[in-house]
Amino acid sequence: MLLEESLRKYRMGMALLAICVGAAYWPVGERLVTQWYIDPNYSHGFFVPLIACWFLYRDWEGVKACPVEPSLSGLAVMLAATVMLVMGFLSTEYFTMRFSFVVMLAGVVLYLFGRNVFGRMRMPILYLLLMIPIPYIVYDAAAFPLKLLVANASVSALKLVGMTVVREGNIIMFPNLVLEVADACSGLRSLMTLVTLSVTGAFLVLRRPLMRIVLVAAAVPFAVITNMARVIVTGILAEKVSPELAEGVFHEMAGLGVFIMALVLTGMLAFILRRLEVRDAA
Amino acid sequence: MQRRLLIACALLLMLGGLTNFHENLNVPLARPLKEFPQQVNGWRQVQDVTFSEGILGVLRATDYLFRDYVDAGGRRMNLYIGFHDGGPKSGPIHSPRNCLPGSGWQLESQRPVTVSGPDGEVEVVRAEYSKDGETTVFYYWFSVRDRVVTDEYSLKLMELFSSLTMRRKDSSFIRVAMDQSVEMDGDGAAFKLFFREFYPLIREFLPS
Repeated sequence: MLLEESLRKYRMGMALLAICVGAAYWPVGERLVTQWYIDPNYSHGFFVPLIACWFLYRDWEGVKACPVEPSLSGLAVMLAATVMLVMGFLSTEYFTMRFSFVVMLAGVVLYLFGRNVFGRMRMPILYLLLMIPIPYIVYDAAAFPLKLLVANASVSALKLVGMTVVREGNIIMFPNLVLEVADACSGLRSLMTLVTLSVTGAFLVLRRPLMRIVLVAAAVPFAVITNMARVIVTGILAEKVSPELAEGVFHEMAGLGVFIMALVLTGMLAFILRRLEVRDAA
Repeated sequence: MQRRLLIACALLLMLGGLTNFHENLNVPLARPLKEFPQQVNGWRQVQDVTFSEGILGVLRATDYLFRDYVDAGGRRMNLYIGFHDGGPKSGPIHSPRNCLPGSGWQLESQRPVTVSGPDGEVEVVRAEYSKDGETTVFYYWFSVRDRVVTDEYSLKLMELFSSLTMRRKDSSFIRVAMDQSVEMDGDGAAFKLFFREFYPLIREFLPS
């Protein structure tokens, strides 16, 4: 039986199952959406499920024609997700609970439809992992050295154009303004947004694994460059125009400006990598 | 297929029962922390800090204490007690291992040390962090019911176990901070004295 037929034949059961998944993960999802809403590092979370659905839709012709061969290994995956959810729930460990949701989805697909279908749906399912905020202990370990790098390089650049600045840790002091390079416990702004952006671009435009890895890895230098631009522009504004304006712009730049700049950079790199792929294939 | 659907639904419904209906209890403190004595056998309170709304929003503690005490010799210690009652509205303990580096503190060293309490030895963590060229020594431990825990993983495991068996997940974080110069004075003796006086008192306030 093909997936298409199976879905049609058991549509009531499938709908019931979807409701059960919703019931089990409702409290987890509710908190996750709240975090997307309040945590500027994860505003992109809203788009991840939509893009995942779109990735699935794009490949739907192929997916629905996959043969269904239910696999018991899926039940083991579902049990693993159950253990994760129970442990995470009882110890209020959000990352574990949220991760469990993606594992559960994978398990359900494997259990009901088997490896063929799962293989074909793997990318959209795993893509959902990008909607989960990573634990701050992990995030900070990576982002803190980058934050210092941003502070360091920005100060050097500002000194180069002849400005008076002093740096102390991740704090940059101008004669009339003190800038902290990202607030405490927030890490390098938009790093995860950029990673999500580049993963999306990698699967949209590129075919070869190596090229995709290059594009995703580029998110780190792009985050550093765009955050540096934010600090430098703010510094110059503070000095030449007014500190109030700089603070306003500082926050605006943190969101929209950095994002647009990164979008352009990622787009350009994706374009170049695509050209390389096409040239190699020819 | 129908059997598989049933099994999957049954498993998920059980999970749904847990995530929607299991609620930990709000465990009260034995006494509110604001009643903590201002004078403890030679130690005198010199500062009592009230946190801003912003900080409290992040901290999500049920009750807290943030005070400076000074002894006759002028040695100044900062005591923080954060109690999280484990109920649906209480947040998790923020480990200094995340929060201090997140706000610009650099970890210099960290190791477990044993200090003597009223009922024998207690293991706590001694950590040195520096910021802006000054080094502060922190002694801290977590308290879950009547047990003292020093690492985040055991803390989580104990919370998990009590939540499952007793529907309670209350825990506290206790931290004593002092300038390095205070600590150097007599090889950590100041903290040992402080601990001996304060530990039994802290225990009296926390739930057992």
